[in-house]
Amino acid sequence: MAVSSLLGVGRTGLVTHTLGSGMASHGASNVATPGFSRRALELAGIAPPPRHGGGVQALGIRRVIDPFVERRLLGARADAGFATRRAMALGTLDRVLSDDAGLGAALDAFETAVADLAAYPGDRAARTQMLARAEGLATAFRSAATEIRLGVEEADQRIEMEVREVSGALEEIARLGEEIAKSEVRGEEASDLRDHRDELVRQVADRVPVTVVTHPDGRMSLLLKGGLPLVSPDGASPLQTVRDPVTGRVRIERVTAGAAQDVTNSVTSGSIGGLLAARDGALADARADLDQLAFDVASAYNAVHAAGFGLDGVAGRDLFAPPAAAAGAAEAMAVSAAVAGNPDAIGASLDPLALPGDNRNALALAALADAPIAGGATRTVQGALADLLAEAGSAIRAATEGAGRADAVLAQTQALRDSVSGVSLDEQMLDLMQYQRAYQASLRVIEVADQMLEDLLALKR
Amino acid sequence: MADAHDEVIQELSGLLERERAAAVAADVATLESLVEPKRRLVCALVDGGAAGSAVDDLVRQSRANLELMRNLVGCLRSLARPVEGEPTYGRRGHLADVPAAQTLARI
Amino acid sequence: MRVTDAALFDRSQRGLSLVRSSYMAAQQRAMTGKRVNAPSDDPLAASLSRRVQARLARFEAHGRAIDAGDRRLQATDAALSQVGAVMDRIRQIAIQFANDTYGADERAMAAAEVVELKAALVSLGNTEVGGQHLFAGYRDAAAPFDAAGAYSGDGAEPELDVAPGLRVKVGVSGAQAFGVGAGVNLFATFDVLSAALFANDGASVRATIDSIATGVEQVADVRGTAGVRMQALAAARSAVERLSEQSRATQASLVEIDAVEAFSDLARAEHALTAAVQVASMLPPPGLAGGSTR
Repeated sequence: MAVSSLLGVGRTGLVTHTLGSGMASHGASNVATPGFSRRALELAGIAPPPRHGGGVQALGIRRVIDPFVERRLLGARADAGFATRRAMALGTLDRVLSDDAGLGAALDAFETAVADLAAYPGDRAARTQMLARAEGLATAFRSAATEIRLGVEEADQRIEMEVREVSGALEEIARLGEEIAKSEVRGEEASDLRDHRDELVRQVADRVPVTVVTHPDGRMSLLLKGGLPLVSPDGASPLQTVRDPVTGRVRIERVTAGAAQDVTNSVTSGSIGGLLAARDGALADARADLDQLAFDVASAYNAVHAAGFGLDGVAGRDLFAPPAAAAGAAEAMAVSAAVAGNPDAIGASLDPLALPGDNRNALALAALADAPIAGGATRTVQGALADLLAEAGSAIRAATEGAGRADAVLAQTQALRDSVSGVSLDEQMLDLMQYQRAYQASLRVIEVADQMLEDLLALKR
Repeated sequence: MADAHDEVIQELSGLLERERAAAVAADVATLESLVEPKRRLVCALVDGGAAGSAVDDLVRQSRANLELMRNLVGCLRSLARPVEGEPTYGRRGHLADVPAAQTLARI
Repeated sequence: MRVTDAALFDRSQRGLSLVRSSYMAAQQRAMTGKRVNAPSDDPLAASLSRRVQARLARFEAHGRAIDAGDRRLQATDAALSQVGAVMDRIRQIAIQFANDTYGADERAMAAAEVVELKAALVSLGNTEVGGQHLFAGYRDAAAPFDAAGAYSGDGAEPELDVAPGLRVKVGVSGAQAFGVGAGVNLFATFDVLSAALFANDGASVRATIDSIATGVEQVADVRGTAGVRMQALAAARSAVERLSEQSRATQASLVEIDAVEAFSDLARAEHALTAAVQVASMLPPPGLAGGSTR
C-alpha cells in the first residue's frame, strides 16, 4: 500500500519491511559463528514533527554486548595466548632434559669409564671404552644443544608466521572500520560488520597485547601495549619481522609511513609474547648453562689430561677439542683429534718410564668427577647438571601451571561474554514464537480495524 | 441524541488515539485489548446514525492507524519468518552474500 | 547466567581435553614405571635423582675397582705364599748343609737344587695376571726379573679408588718383597748359597742363614701387607654395597613408582576418559541441532 501523504506519515522514519530474513533466524544461523552477538529489537519513539499528526516509529537493531566484559576478554585472551604458547615452546626443553634420554646417562658412563681406566691403564679395551664414552658424552652435549637450538629456531619461525597473521587481521580491521563508518553514515546498520571486526580484534589479542579505542564515526583504533597504534582511523600500521644481524633472532617491527620501528619489547603478552618469553627465557638459560657446562668439562679434563703420557710416551694432548669460548661450546663438543681413534694416546700415566701400569693421571682424571669444576668452580659436573634440570624443570612447570590458570580465567571470561552476548537457540526459538504470535494477533487487529473503517465510511454516505 | 453521539465520538476518538500510541510502540497486546471496545463504540455510532465532520476526523484517525498497523505487521512478518541462512562471517572473512544485512531506511 | 549452546559445547570440550591429557600422563607412568619422566614432573626429584644416579654409577665403578684390586692381591698373596715355601726350603738347605758332615758331592747336589729354586723364584717374581706382572710396579707389561734376578720394574704400588674418599694400594712392591735395592736381595742370597755349596764352603753356607731368615721375614711382611690390603678392600666392598643399597632405595622413592599403583591409576584415568567422552558425545556442536547449515 502506498504511503499516503494525506496521512502525513510519509516523511519521517518508517522502517520498511525489507528487512531480509528474520532477526531470530539470523541469530540461529550464527549460533556457531565465533564472536557473533545476539541482537535485540530496539523500539524508539521519535517525536512527530508538529505539522503532522502521524506517529513515527524507528526500529533499531542493536548488538547485545557489554564493553567492560569485552575489554576483560581481550586481556584474558592475551594472557592465555601468552601462557599457552610459552608452555608449548618450553615442551622441547622438557623432552631434551628427560634423564633417560641423554646427558645424565652419558656423563655417568664417561665418568665410570675414566675410573675403570685407572684399574687397567694398559688395557686396550679399557682405553677404547673410555674413548667411546668420551665420544658419547660429546654427542650427548651436541644433541641436547642442537635440540634446544632447533626449539629456539622453531619459536622464531612461529613468531614470523603469527606476525603475518596479525598484520593480515590489522588490514582487515581497518577495512571493516571504513565500511562500518560508511554504512552508518548512510543510516545502515552494521552489527555484523562490528561483530566480525571484534572477532578479528580478539584474534589479534590472542597474539599481541592490545587495547581498543572506539571512535564516534564507527572506526576503531587498536593500540599495542605502550600506546603505539596498530590500527588508527587512517589505516593499519602492519607488523613485520626482521632478524637481528648479530644473534640471528627474530625481532618485531611496526611499519608506519614507510619507516620501521622495533617494538619487540612491547610484546609482553599474547602468543607472540609467550614465544619471545620462552625463547629469551628458559630456552636461552638452558642453552647458556649447557654451553658453560660443556666448556667447564672440556677445559678441566683437558688440563689434567695434558699432564698425562700416552702409551707412546707423549704428553700434552687434549682429551676434548678445546672450546674457543663458553658460547656454543656444547654444540661444538667433540673428542680431540689427537686422541680420536687412538686409544694409546690417552694420557693415563704421569711418568713416561712407568708405562703401561702407571695409572696416576687416570686417577687424577677420575677425581674430576668429585671436584668443583663447574658453575664458576662451585659445583661438580653432576651437581651442575642436576641444578640445570631443577631450574629448567621449575620454569617449565611454572609455565604449564600458568597456562592452566590463564586458560581457566579465559574460560570463565568467555562464559561471561557468552552469557551476555551469546546466542541461545532456545531463546531464539522463543523470540521467533513471540514474533509469530504478535504477527498473527496484529493481522486480526487489522482485519477488525479495516471492517470498522468500512463501517465509518458507510456512515458518511 | 447529538450529546450521546458526541460522547461516543469522544470515546472513540480517545480509543483511536490509544490505538495509535500502541501501534507506534508495537504494543500488540494493547492493540488486541482495544478490539472489543472499538467494535462496541463503532456499532453504537452506526446504530445512532451519526454523521458530519466529527466522523471525518474518526475516519482520518482510523486510516492513519491502519497504515501504522500494516507497517507493524510487515515488520513482524519479517522477524517471524524462519529462514535458513549462512553465518555471516567465518575464517575466510566477511561473506559477500549477507542475507541478514538489515537496513534502517529513512524515507 | 544465560547458558548458550556455544558455551556448553566449549565447556564439555575443555573438560574432555583435560581428562584426556591426564589419561595420557597416567599411561606413560604405567609404561615406564617412573613418576618423574621429565624434569617438569617434579623438578626437585629430577635433580636429586640425577645426583643419586651419578653416585650409583660411581659405586659400581668402585665395585669394579675392588674386584680388580682383589684379583691382584689374591694372586699376589698366592705368589708370595709360594715364595715363602721356597724360602722355607732354602732355609732348610742352608741349615742342613751348613753342617760339615756333608761332603762336596752332597753339597753340589744341594747347590743344584738351590739353582732350580732360584729359577722358580724368578718365575714367581714374574707372576702375571690378566697381562699385569704383579711385582713389576707400574712397568707391568714386561717380566720384571731376568734369569739372573736383575730387576727392571719400578717397585711401585699402584692405587685405586675403592670407596668414596678411599684410595688404597692394590699391589705390593716387588722390589721390597724380593729385596732389590733395599733389604735382602733374595736372588743374590740364593747365588751366594749355591756358590758356597758348590765350593763346599761350610762357613760361607752358614753365613747365609741369617740373610735367609731376614729374607723369609721380608717376604712374610710383604705378604702381611697384601693381606691387610685385602681386608681393606673387603671393608670397602661392604661399605660400597651398603651405600648402593641406600641409594637405590632413595632412587626408587624419588622416581620409580609402585607398578600396582601405576596400573590402578591408569585404570582410573581410563574410566574417567570413557565417561567424559560419553558426556561430550551427547552434546552436539552448536548449530547442528538447529538444522541451520554452516
